[in-house]
Amino acid sequence: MIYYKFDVNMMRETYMKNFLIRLLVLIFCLWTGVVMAQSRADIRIDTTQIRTGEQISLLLEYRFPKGSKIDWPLKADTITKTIEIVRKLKADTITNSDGLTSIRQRYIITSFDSGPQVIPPLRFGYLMQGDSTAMYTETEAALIMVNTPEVDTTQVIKAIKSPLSAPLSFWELLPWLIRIWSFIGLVLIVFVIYYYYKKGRLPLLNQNKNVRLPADDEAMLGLENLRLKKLWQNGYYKLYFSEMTDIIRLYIERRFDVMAVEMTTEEIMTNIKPLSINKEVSSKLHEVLQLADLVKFAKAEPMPLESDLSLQHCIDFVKETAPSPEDSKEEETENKTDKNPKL
Amino acid sequence: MIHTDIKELNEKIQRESAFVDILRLEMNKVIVGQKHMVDRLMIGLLSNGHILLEGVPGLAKTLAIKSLANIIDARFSRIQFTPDLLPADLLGTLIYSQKKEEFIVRKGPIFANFILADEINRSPAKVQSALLEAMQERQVTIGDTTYKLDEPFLVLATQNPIEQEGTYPLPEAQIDRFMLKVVISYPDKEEEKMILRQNIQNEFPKTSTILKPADIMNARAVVREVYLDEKIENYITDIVFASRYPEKYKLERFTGMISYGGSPRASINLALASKAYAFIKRRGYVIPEDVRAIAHDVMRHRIGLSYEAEAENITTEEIINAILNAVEVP
Repeated sequence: MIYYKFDVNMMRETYMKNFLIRLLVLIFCLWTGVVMAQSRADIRIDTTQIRTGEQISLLLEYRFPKGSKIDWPLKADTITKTIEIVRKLKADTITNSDGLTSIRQRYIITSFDSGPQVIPPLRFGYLMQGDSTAMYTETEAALIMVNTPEVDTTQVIKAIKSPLSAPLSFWELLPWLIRIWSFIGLVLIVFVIYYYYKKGRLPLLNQNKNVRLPADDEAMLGLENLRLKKLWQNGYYKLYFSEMTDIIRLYIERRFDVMAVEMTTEEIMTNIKPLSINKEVSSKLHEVLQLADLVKFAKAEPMPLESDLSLQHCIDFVKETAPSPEDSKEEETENKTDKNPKL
Repeated sequence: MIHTDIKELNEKIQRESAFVDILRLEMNKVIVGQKHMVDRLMIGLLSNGHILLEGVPGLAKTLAIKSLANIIDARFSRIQFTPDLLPADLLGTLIYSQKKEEFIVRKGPIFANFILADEINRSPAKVQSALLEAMQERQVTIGDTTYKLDEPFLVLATQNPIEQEGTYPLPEAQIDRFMLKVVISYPDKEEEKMILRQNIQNEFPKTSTILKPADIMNARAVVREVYLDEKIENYITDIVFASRYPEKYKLERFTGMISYGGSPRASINLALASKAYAFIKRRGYVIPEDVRAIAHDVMRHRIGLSYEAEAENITTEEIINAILNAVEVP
């Protein structure tokens, strides 16, 4: 007869070991199941029936634990040899309340091969931080039926249509528009420079030429220069009186805005009469202009004293009617913009 | 002071032009107002030019020339131009004399010193041409014989500006032969009252003969002597050129508005009329005032307006004013 001798302590130890192993296995299985249930990949397509070359939308959604690194399929521009990705739209990333992250990516796809075209299960994967084992999940496969247009063989066969020209967009035209407008602008600039150059009115280049003295200074300078020329002393009475009246008429035109250059003696006197000019000075000017008319149009040769006095009367007239310093400042400002000097 | 020859000329003109004031006084006996017309008649007479007078009826046009003829003791003819007038009615013709058994010359009304061609635009072109040829050549041919017209010979043609229907407007080439085109307007209120009084009296005032045609011929010779400086010549040519090329005289706004400008005859007549004007002002030399005073009358019928100008209601008066205001006075 065999007797089995049982050690109670040993039995108890063995039982505990088995229990712990079973518990660990159970925990592992539960954890894995939870995690696997959390990650999920979905595929959705607009329609399963398309015509050759028709474009449809494909949506891929992948849910994975937050903070994981993911492996996304569809890195090339084709899904299979017969299904092409036309465009990839912007992806949406959503953080869900259960701690998972969803990435939704939409593609525009098409196929040019007729018949049933299968999108195989697409494999997604993620790798959690501090973990070396990647977890994978797959979408379901999808079927797209690509149909060719039905040909009505009873109808007349027509020639193949030529390719349609796509309308040009603004952005395609923009570089050309910039080039054309730049060219027109350049031509205009060249024309404007040439025009002002021909007119002798290049404002920047001729700045110094355009500075004009105030009317009274210009007249005084002219009269002084005339005195220095000693014209009447050399018998040039006509030239002397012509220049003198030209200076004084131009002065009247600038100072009083009376068109004296285009007026006769009597017209000038009539026009300056209403102005507040010293009567004596005005009357002497009248005498000078009348004498000048005689010299210019009737061969008169005045006495030396008359010739000298005439110039002096003109100087007196300018001095008497010259603007006050306040007026001069205003006039100076106006003259800076005067671009057509007559002298 | 004034150059000796000009001084002498001035004195001579002072003497020779003394009749101008008397002539004016005589004219004023019968013509109230219309100083402008009377002065232009004298200018035409003294510078050997003809006058085209434009004004409504009743402005003493006939009276003025008739009185002038009487003052100068000159022969006067008035010809009313009508659509059925023939050149022979104007110039004269050959008539067969049964007594003499030959053709004799019957001279027309053109054989006078002063001709009033009333409403010249009512006759067809052949009559106008006959008159204008006589005006230019100062002679008339009847049959085989050419007859010189008596001097002074002054044609005063009138046009009515308001009735244009059934008229034959004078062609530009013929209108250019008139030295002056004078536009006369209504008298003012005071003048009108004087005219009224004058005409309701029992006796209408009469002018006296104070001059002979020979005096006018002498005066014409003196007028030609009036000194015209080169500066004035330049001024005259500038005015005429401005009517041809307005853009060269800062009158760009009239480019395209003028179909034709003043001809060389405009320059000649402007110079002659300015001399005559200086003479009646009793001066021996021309000044710019003289040119400006007469410019409108010499230029107004010598500037042709384009369709654009007419569409924009631009008149020759405006153009002449603009020219005078744009051309620098010497």
